[in-house]
Amino acid sequence: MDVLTLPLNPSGSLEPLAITVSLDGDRIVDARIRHGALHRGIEEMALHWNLFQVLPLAERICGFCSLSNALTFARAVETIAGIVVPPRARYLRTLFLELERISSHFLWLATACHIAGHEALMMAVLSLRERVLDMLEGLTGKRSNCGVAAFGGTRVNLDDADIKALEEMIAFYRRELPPLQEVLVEGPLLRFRLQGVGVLPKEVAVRHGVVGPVARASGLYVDLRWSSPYEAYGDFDVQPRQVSDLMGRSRGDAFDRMVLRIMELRQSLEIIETLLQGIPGGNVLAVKKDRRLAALLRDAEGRALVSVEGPRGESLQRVTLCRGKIALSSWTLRSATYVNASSWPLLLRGEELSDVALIINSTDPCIACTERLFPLRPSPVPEMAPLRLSSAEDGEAAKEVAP
Amino acid sequence: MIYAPEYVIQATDHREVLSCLEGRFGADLEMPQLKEGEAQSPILTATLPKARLLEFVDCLAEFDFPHFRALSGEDLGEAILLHYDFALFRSAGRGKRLEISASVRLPSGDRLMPSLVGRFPSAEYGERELIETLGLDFEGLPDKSPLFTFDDRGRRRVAAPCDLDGGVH
Amino acid sequence: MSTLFFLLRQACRKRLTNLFPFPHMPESLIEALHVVQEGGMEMNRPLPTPPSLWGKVAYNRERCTGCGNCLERCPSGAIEPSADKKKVEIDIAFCCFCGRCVDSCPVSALAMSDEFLCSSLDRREMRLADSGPLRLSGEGDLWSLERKR
Repeated sequence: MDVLTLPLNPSGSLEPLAITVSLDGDRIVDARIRHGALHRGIEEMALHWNLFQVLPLAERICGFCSLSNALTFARAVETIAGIVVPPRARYLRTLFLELERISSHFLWLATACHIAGHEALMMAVLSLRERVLDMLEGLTGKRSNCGVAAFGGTRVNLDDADIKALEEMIAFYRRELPPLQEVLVEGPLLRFRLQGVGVLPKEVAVRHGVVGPVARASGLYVDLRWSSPYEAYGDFDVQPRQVSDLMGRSRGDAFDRMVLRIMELRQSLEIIETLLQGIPGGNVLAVKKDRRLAALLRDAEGRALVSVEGPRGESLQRVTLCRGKIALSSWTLRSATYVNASSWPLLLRGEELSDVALIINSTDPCIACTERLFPLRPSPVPEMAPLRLSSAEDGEAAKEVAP
Repeated sequence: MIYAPEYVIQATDHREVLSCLEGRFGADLEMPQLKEGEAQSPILTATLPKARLLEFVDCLAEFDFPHFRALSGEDLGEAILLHYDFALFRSAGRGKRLEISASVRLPSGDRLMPSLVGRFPSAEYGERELIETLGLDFEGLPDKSPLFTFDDRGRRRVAAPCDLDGGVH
Repeated sequence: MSTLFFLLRQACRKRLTNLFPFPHMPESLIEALHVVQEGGMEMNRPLPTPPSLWGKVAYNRERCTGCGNCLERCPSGAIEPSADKKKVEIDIAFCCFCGRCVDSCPVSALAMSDEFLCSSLDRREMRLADSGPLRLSGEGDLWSLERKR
């Protein structure tokens, strides 16, 4: 058997990955994935910054799971410092997590259409996505990386007009999603292209511990929002979606992953609708005074392991705070793709060369999350000493902050 | 050892898991603790010696297929603290999931750990990353090449685009 | 059939993108800009932005007490103490638009304006020492606008 080893450059897979495939004719015999094109050591850099600076940094690890990452970090710090988030903030966080999921899933659908070669469908999906981006821009001021998370709550609040706009958005998607679903799921365009490609059987999915939509599409009944509810998910019914409910069976191929994401879009709309009916009043920040928050964080010490079900799956962070400084002593990030990536060589084996991009993208990879990219400053700088420029208010500050 | 790849539907009580582990490992299991609360999902934390890690994992597998979540390391100076994070009862019901965090303390001279790749293929990335960040070695890990950085000698180095075509494989 | 109908409907929809600066790309952009300057034709204006937009940060030097909160909060090191150490200067070229400095300011001397076109040929022009009294487009004075929180 003649085996040809072919390196695929990043543009071949639409992701910054170097994939080396061994080919027998057109079939992939073996595949090796090389990471490292994006690695800049964000975890180590964060150790030199204070916690207030790390929160925006966590937001910028990835553009589309930005809130999941930032919220995981904020929740970890809150757990250590013992800050209790007010109920309204818990609901708002849930709301924005779901909006982020809608935006991310639409983008994935668009990418899938693009890779399958249907540019017109891609544009159609992207134009639908525009509505949720406009919503995010109206609510937070930004279309992505919307800095919602803060220690002890959220930075944005909703008024009645916002809630009305959200209801209109839900009505819009209720109207527009069924035709899209008909085209994508029942129409021939994607079905013939995606069915039977990149099959991940249930047993393999369990052994590799895959998370998120990839796991659910393989028939695993897993969802962090259901199995260990956080924020406001405990207050209403969230069941993991299963492809077999809609299609009668699940095979765990790329087509099933697409169907599942469309089902999750509808689930997110349902969640937002229920959530808006029961949104409690009150504060959105547990600690309003900046100095009190700084004093709380300075005294906090300990470890926490927190995970959030992001659009791509479980995003996990282990945070260790050190006493006496508003700083981290260690920070570990594990995104969903980090876990799912171990199944890629398996998915690629036995498939055709032309399907590589399709298969890798069907798991919704986020290489930026996996390799922890996006430093805002080029190199680590020493932690800033608390600066007081003028003498005004100094006495008061010292009184309040002193442990 | 390869476990049956299936998640259980009926969860065992979390306290029962804790008492079973305590009974099996006795004094080797330092500071076993089960935290349950409104604010966080139930988590079982414990510190155990390196020699009994594989036995610990096998013991967990008697309850359910352990979902391997993450492997992370902390450099404390005099020792390296490794955290193995698992989850049990992943699809056993609402609020039933139990997180398990097993910490292993490696004294500074010791750099060798048993590899979990035979049991959990997804442990590969975590172990390869620890090889390049903390300089550990894993017994039984088939591919010990660096994951994110490109130096053959395991030194940390920022990847340049020109590294991509050569490769160490 | 339904696919064809779906795509046709999509093609007939109103376009979401705003082609900037002209609806159709002219032969020569520079010439077209000259014509615009002489009043010969009109440019496509940028889309109106929501009042909550986080654009370029605005700094009211008069109000600033120099407490230094924003210096500690800035993740990208864009804020630096000014030469006399009593006020700050902001380098927009470094700014990552996270808005944490605005949150931390006890006297509301910082605000997010709705100005989002902030490119420049000279890096030194991006340093902001004072933006003075600013107006949001149609919304009134920026400094009196209550933040949503």
